[in-house]
Amino acid sequence: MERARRHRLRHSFRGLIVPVLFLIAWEAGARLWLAKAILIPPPSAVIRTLWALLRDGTLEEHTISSILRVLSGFAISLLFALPLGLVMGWNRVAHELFDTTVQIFRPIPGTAWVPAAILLFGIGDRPALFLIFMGTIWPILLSTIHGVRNINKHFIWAALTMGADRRRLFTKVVFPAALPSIFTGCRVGMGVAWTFVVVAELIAVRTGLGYMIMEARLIVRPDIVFAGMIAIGVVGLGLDWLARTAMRRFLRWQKGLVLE
Amino acid sequence: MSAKIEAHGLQKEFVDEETGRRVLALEEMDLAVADGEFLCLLGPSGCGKSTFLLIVAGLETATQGRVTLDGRAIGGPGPDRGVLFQQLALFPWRTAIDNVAFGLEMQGRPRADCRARAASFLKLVGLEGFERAFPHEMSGGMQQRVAIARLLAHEPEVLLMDEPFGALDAQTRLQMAEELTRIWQQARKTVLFVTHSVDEAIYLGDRVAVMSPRPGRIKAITEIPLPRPRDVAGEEFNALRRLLLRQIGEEAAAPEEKRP
Repeated sequence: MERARRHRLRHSFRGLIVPVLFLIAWEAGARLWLAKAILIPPPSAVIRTLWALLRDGTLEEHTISSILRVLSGFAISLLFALPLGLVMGWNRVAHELFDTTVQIFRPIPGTAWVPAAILLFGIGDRPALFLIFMGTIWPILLSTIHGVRNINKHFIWAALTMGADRRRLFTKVVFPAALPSIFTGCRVGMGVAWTFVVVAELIAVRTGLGYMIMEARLIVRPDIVFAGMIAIGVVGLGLDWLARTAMRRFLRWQKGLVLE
Repeated sequence: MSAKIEAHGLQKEFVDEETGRRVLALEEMDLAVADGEFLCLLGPSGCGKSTFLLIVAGLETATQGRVTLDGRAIGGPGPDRGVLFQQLALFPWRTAIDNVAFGLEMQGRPRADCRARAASFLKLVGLEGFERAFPHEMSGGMQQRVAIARLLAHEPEVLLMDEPFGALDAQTRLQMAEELTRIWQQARKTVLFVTHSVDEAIYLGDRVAVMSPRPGRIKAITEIPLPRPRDVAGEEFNALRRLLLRQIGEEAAAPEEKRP
């Protein structure tokens, strides 16, 4: 026990060496070439700015607006992708009907939709939500289809020999069996959604962390740019943690069955 | 006793979709299982014994011939024939008790009734106190017991078992065979038990049907007149063992067909 903890401590200590050296080098570099410090502020200045942004509420405001946007975009995606994926995975005709369309649209990177989003929806929340939707729908859709199609046939057989009809076979066996795969798709989708909210905010809206760092560049406040980037990273980590926790909560039964 | 299950001139041919190769798994197979009988189907792997079991279960269809249950042709899977697969196919998202309750839920019984009944069947297989454990939290032998409880709970008239103890270690295997004998003596169901173990077949069956290798057909049927529980080291047991080994051995000595 004690040894394991010491081992873990040493392990995390080693992991810190490189980041700390990096911060020292950054701080020293920024201070040595003072002229450049206007464009690349030392980490100490970035932290000070981060703190100031937190204290006057700017950071919270932008963060909340970004998170709300991500969650609504994600919810819209889920609303489309989950039913469509379940039907496409379960029903051969539905798969044949929609698969070609999916294959045509899926390879278009979400970022390629930026001009189209602005043309279609102008400026504001709608193009932002559209972009998040276009980015997140694929991982959720594909992993849902995959989850349904790759179900162990013995589960189906067992259910049929216990008298399950087609409807209950779907709701009581196929759906729960596909859940791990669906959740994995959602977790990937959440990461993609966070990427696309920042992209959308750089372009189409006047709130959110993406907007905050873009505007900071225009008014030449590099400290805000870097502070904003740190906030974006931290929130992204938080969202992933949220997705993982939800997964663990809902899929308690598969603990020990899959590699985290 | 009248025949519960009857097969006449059964043939099953598999066609490989990619290569178009045809494999004859069963040919001219005749077999009758009496009501309340425990019949063991013994044969080398790949002789089509599992295929036969799946046809009786209604999960596969015969290419030619006819299988009847109580004189009626088998049209598909149904709760009157319970199947125990070697893979067990316990639902990993359901606890032990909910796995056992599945077939009862399919009958539309009230939830409390399902649970009470499922609990009594878990008790029957010696798993009292493990109601809320998930399959992955249990040992192979315990999972086996849950699967047997699940098989029995919705009271199928016929039990179809496909090498259910194949994945267990020798000791657990013997223990499960003892337990199955005890349960069967109480319930007196018609059992079709597929195995490649001579000892298991003699220990369990009223009769042992030996199958020839591909294409499979019934080669010999031997009565096991020993009283239960049977002594695996007894003289009569040994005599039967020699007899059955010879029946199988003649087949194994014959030139084996090329595998696809």
